[in-house]
Amino acid sequence: MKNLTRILVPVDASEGAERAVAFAVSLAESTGAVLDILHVSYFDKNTDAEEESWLPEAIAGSVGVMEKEALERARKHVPPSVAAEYHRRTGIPADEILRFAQEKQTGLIVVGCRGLGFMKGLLLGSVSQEIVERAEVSVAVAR
Amino acid sequence: MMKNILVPVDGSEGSDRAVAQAIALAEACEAKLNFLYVANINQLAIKACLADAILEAVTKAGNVILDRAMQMVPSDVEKEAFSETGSPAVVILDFAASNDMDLIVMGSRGLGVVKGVLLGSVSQYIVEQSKCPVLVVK
Repeated sequence: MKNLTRILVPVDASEGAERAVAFAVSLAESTGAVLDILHVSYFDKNTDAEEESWLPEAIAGSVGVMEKEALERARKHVPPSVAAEYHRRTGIPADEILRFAQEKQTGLIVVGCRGLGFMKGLLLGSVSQEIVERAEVSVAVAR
Repeated sequence: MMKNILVPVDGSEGSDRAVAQAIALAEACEAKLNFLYVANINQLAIKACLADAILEAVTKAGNVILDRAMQMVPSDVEKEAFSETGSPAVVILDFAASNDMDLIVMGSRGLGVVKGVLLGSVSQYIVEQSKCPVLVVK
């Protein structure tokens, strides 16, 4: 983080993700780092498509809506003074997030937490937990 | 805005890396660094059974670790060292809450090395239970 130039913030359409974006923005303002805001969908219209997708529009369509909502909710928290790029990927979220971090030479990953679970292990959310454990770069958990 | 950064230290390699990153962050944010060493001993047990010599040795070991962290900090960054006794994870969270810390910066692995466990038990507890953001340094 000595030379923190890129901060990765994986988002879904949740309050925890919004807090992660807000926290990453405050870090970016101090360090001048660029934000990579990433949404990962488990699947999309192309996942099963050789010629034509068998996924009904009711399902594939709503995945697209969730992705759009997640990125829109993140965008609201990013002031014009902070440079941010928005990305979308398809696959297993934790795997895609870690792969993205390697590709982009991310200096720091900022993840959100659920903040509503009272059961052990559910406080963080399984994706955040996996990122904290498996990431080769530093991870901040926003509150 | 980030004004107070808490860095729990235990003298491990991971805690040294956490100190280095916390310094970089404190410089960028103009925040104060608060180093905390927690001697993992029950105070009652000390009073009851431990000889003064042992208590002194434990205190000295903590001070060496805190001094080393303090010396890494450039002179233009505000800093302070704290020493406590008790169960590390609990003491660290109490300290963070009662002193209005904005961020906890810590290593992913402390001194207790359990094979196959990627995140130390203290770090794991703090990541799950903390009320303020936690930065796990790799």
